[in-house]
Amino acid sequence: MKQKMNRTETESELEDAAVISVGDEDSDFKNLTASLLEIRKLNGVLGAILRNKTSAVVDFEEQDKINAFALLSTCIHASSIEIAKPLNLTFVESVLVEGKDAKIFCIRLGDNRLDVLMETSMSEDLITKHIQL
Amino acid sequence: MTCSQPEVLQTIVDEYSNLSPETSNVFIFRKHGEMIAANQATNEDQTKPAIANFADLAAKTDLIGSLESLTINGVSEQLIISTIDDLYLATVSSKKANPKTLSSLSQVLIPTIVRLIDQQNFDKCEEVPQTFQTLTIEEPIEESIVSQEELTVDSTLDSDECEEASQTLQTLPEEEAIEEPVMSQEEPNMDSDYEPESSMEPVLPKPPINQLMIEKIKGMLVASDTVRVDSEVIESWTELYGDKTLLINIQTLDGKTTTCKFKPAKESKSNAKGIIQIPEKILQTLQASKGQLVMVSPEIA
Repeated sequence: MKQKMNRTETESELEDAAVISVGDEDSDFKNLTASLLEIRKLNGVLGAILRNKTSAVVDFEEQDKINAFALLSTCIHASSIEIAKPLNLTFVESVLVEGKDAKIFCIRLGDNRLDVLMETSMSEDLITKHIQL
Repeated sequence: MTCSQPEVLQTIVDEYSNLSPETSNVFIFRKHGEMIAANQATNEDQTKPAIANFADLAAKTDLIGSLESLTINGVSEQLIISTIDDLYLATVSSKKANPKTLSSLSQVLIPTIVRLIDQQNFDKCEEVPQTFQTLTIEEPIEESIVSQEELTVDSTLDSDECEEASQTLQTLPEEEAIEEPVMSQEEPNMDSDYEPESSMEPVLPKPPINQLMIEKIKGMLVASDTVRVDSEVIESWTELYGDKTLLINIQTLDGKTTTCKFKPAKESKSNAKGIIQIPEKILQTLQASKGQLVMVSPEIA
């Protein structure tokens, strides 16, 4: 009963988040979308993007900064691979970029990628704990 | 005798792998991309593309404020690039490396050494204008050439370069040699932080930075907006700034800063050397706790 209620709550919350879908979502992506909603509730999380090759879920506090965040997280993903390659770091699992005002944690989960913008005082370990595949 | 910053940093980088054997690559570069030091296992083919891509990323991080650090986790290794003033320290270590050792080295030891070198260089620069002030126009030409050598030889030059510079000066025609001291009075060859003496505004020295350990203070008579600092540190500030009203700027190793009032620590109550006593309210602002290290510098009120 409780499970059913939780699912209903999650489903209604999912409707609130901006979902850009251009293909069939796999089960991992669905599970991660639920994780994203849990992560967004954490104190200190300012926004998050979950994406794979065909779909993306964007949940962001400040709507006007969605584009800037999406661009930066894409840039972090590309740059981190290029930075890691010459230093013989095989396969980038996660990246943490800390700025003076905020930090971004990007994690690869199979074919999916989760990018979270959060306050500097928040630990990225808390994000990892809330990810369920 | 003092060493230049790159020499010291090269020594640190060479020793890094001894201190943390799980670290394979260590290199230090300036924010504009100039390479300062790298360990033997690191070559230019590795650092050049890494630095270029890092600079590219750093230029795009307006959304989160200026880039302070980057951590890339691979399968078994991790790359950490962290800021130390105008430098970046990059390390590639095994994930098995002791995180405490790594953070002690990269967040405490190396930043402290970098700041000490900067402080030492600052002190050296401070001595130069004092030599300069002893010059008098009535000095014989030969003497002023000698004094001029002292003034214009860059402190970073090695002995060969010094000799070459002095020979060049000695061979100058007499007229040039006479005019030169006047030119060097206007443009002394030292840090651009120093303004010429003729400037109308008084020249204030660059604030020295001290590293102190936090001690928490509480009690009825403790002012919540005032910290207590090692009296020797305060004396050195008073020597620099005289009667000016000063505040203290406190910065944690995490980059949190605050400015507040200060007074000398009561030495009878504790071993106040190297200690800063901070009330609860300011500790909360800094998100710091007892035993942590902070960088402090004076600020004119």
